Amino acid sequence: MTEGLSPRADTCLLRARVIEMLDAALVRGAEPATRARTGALWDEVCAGRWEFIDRFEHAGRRLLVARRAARVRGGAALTRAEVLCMAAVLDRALQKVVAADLGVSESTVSTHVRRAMRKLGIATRAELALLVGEGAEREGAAGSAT
Amino acid sequence: MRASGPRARRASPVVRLPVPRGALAFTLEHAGEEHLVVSLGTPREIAWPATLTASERAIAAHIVAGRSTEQIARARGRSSRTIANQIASLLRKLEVASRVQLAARLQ
Repeated sequence: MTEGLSPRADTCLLRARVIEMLDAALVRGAEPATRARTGALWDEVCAGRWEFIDRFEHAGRRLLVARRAARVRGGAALTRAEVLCMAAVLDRALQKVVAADLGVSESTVSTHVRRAMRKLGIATRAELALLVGEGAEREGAAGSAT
Repeated sequence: MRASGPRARRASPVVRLPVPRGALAFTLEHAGEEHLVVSLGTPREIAWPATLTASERAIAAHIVAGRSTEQIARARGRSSRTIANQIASLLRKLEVASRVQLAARLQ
């Protein structure tokens, strides 16, 4: 955080930078390069190496801003169980599969989800659903089968 | 190959989640700290049933943005009980079981 600035003023500055960078990526043709890097950065998010600190909307896009997660050990802050449970958040049936796979109860699955949300700085399950999306259901099922 | 096998298994228990549809991610430097930005694409267009009221449509947009009942209540100047009722009728009309499912469908 910038010294001498209130948290709110700092957030405004950061948002302005984000919008500037996004416009550069989308408008000035840097998009392919950004797209190529997205996968690697997304894997870091899934490992819990970033925690979300701000979210806002701009030009119809939903933007999430994160900083380096404070407590990361062994390359990942999220445990494997937490990621599996997070992937199953949209699907009750899949939650049962994951619970059986991990050998825990379904309420433990929601505990894992809650922990993962706290580590990622996500406040609501609906917000988590935006990140996990529909495709994650199949991926999670495939992951738990192996 | 043989040497890296067991070590790789121990070192990478990471489960991969697929990148959300239309998402872009990039990093930027701000106040001497590295920040990550994830930009999610525009919500998918779905055919809203004509039976939805104006309030229900407005609330759907809030839910897609991941806001809680309390936050929607404050934004709309209604009590959280009113918003909870409107969300319940919204979900019933859209035939989804939860706001999480609604958010996922629109993603």
